[in-house]
Amino acid sequence: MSKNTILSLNGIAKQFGGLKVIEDITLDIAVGEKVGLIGPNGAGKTTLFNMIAGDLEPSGGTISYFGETINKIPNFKRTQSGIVRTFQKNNLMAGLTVKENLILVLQRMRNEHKQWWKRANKKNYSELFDTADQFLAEWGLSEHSKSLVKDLSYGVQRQIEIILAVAGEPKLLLLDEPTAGMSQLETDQIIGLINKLPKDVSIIMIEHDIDVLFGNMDRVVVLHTGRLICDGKPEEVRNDPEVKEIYMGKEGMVHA
Amino acid sequence: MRIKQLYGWGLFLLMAFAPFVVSLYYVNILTEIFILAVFAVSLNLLVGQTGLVSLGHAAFFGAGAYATGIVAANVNANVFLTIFVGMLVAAVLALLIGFLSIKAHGFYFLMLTLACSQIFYSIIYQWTDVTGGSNGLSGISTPVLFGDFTLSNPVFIYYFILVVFGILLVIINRLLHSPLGYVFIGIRENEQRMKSNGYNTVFYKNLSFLLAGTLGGLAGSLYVIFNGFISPNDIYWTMSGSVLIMVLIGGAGTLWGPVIGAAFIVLMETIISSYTENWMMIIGLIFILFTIFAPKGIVGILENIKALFTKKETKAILQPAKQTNMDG
Amino acid sequence: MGTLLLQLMNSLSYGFLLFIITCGISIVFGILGVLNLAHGSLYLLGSYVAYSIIMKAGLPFWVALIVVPLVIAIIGYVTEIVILRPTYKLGHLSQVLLTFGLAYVFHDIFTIIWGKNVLSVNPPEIFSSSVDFLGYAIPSYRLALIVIGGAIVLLLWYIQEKTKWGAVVRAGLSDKEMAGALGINIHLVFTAVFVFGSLLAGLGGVLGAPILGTYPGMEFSILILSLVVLVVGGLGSVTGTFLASLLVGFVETFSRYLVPELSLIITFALMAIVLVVRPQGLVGRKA
Repeated sequence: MSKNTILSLNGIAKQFGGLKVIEDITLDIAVGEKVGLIGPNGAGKTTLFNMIAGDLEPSGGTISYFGETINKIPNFKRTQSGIVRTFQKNNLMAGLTVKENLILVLQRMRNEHKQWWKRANKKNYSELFDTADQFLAEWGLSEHSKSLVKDLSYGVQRQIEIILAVAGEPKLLLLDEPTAGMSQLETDQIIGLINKLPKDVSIIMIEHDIDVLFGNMDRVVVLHTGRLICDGKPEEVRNDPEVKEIYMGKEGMVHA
Repeated sequence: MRIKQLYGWGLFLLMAFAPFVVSLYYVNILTEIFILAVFAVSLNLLVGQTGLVSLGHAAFFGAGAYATGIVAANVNANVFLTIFVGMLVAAVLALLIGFLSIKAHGFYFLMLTLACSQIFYSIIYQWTDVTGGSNGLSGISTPVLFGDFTLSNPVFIYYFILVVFGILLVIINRLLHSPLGYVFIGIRENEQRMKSNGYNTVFYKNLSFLLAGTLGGLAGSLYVIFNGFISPNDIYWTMSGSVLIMVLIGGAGTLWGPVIGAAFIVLMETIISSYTENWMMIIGLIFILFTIFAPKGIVGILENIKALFTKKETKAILQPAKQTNMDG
Repeated sequence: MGTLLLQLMNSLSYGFLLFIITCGISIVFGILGVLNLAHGSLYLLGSYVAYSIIMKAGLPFWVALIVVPLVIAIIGYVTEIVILRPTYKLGHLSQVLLTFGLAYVFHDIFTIIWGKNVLSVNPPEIFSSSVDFLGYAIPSYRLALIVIGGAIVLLLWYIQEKTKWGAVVRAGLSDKEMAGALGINIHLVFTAVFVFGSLLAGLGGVLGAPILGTYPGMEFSILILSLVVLVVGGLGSVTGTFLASLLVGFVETFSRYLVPELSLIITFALMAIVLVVRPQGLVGRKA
């Protein structure tokens, strides 16, 4: 493990009762590295994310973040130190507007969230609100600013899911199938968003779309029945015989 | 928003003139409304704003009431002292019950708050030496404002409580619409999301519980100052049910909803009981009708009416969250 | 020793009575997902109707034993059809609030019909004296309660384990949607379960009247007691309700006997402890 490592998984395992979902994962991610995480359904990808994010406790092994073991650190603290995740199923505040969803993330980033004596509006918090407007404009969502999330289409909601994660100034961004169910245009927009991130942001992305992985990831890691079976550049992984065998006849590696 | 503030001040002035215009009977009814409005506003912080439905709020009312009464009866009847102690005891109780309950969700949280409240009720009921048991707490001296000036008649008490109520509303109004208020709303809307946004939701839930409990204690303290007497009947779990009804009928998640709800229930009870003893039945029916047809409460109905007149195409019509919406 | 035996008998009979009362709210909660806060009211209605039949009309106890549960079952039927069935789409919390409003309505209806005084119902003639049990005098009504209660427990167990209805209930308890998908008319099941729960409440009302008395406001005390049992036993489990009923019966009876000043506190403390330490109750499944 070098000084350049942001995340280090050592012998990570997870079992539910007698069922072993994750077995002995050891993996290092470097600062600024973009890693694709693939594998058939049920391979344990989201479970792995859950453990990295702190939503689930590993049954064994250690997780280190910038050299420090974080197994016992609760999920919200991990977010505070830069591990930000998105969810496979949109997990937004459906009853609030897009702007409100975003403000909730930004006000904490600006440490203004404990203030109780001033109304949360543009007059009192001009910088906060301006920042929110800028974000939305940058990502082309200004028109939806005052719309309730639940009134928006799936694709837009998915974008918001990712934008909220990015607004959290992540150092390690965990994207769980960000382009699932999206059109080509929407997918391109998402990829554009991701590529605009600072270069020192590490990304682990669960994806099924091979084109997305190819153009954008430095490295691909393959999970199968809870084990890492392949780890390397996208080209190498694609041509790996074991990987091919797993995906033979399955939808996994096919163009979305 | 400025118009709303104008309305608020107008209402305050109106209330200030009330004792000159109406009889003592109505002055006392208004006082009772203010007290229960404080109680309902405190519960709304927990239920409406943060989304934690509790059936144990009567315990805090009781803690404030009994603590205030005991201090007034045995130590000193200065209102600032007695209220302070009342709120302090309620706060401690809120920390205790909150610590036990906050990790539970939904039905379990509901039951746990109910159980804790009933334990408190039982202790009050049994601890006859200190609380007077089922006979209630009597011998409470007339509340003292400062020096020799006592709140010796209902009108003085009315003004005192009106001022406290007004100050509280101003503070709560700021809190509900503040960034912190939004944290509570976020927890109500999607706690898991808030955690992944980096918020320590357990801390904020405890905070909400603490604030709600302390203010519930304030309501209890004011009640004893007004009534000069408190008994376990006033802190039975059905009291928790009543205040929940007030919050829901008025409109949960808003500032004025609980106030309107408290006024509505008190007025209903007063009007109905002059015709028949069976006000519970009518309140029950009204509550049923509201639950089915007007779940956003009276505030929701008023919002709907307003929308009809302003013809604004806003999707916000049915959202109580819009009451605490950010502008800008 | 005599009083110990007496308290033991009291605990058992009280526990069985609690089971009959609580079983109704338990299965309704388990199947419909609705916590029926008017359940205590149904119990009280049972006691009141029993009073009218036995004390006013002068009819024998066994008549009440048959008629009352049926009357309450009918009330339950109407309630489910009129109030609950049209409002399932509002969600569980709303329906709980509806039943709370209903309890308020019932409260005053009872006062209108039966007044505000405490009413007493006499146990049946044959059970109104004490019986020699193991050399000690035990009120025979209590013994009868134990026998009847035990019989009902066995009957319910049989229904649940051995019949088709029981299988449906158990399926509904574990997976409503699946049961619906299998073609079981879920609305019919809901109504039937609610009616059955009401029937049990009514039965409890008749059986309980001679021991617990009948007075306005007691529906809320009964309700809260049911909630204690429900929590301790585990939501949606009949076995759990049974074990918890006995446990609560024993705890309450003996604490009232040994430390009467603390008995109220102890019962609710039990509830709180279970909720904190083992929220799924004695037997319930983890949420």
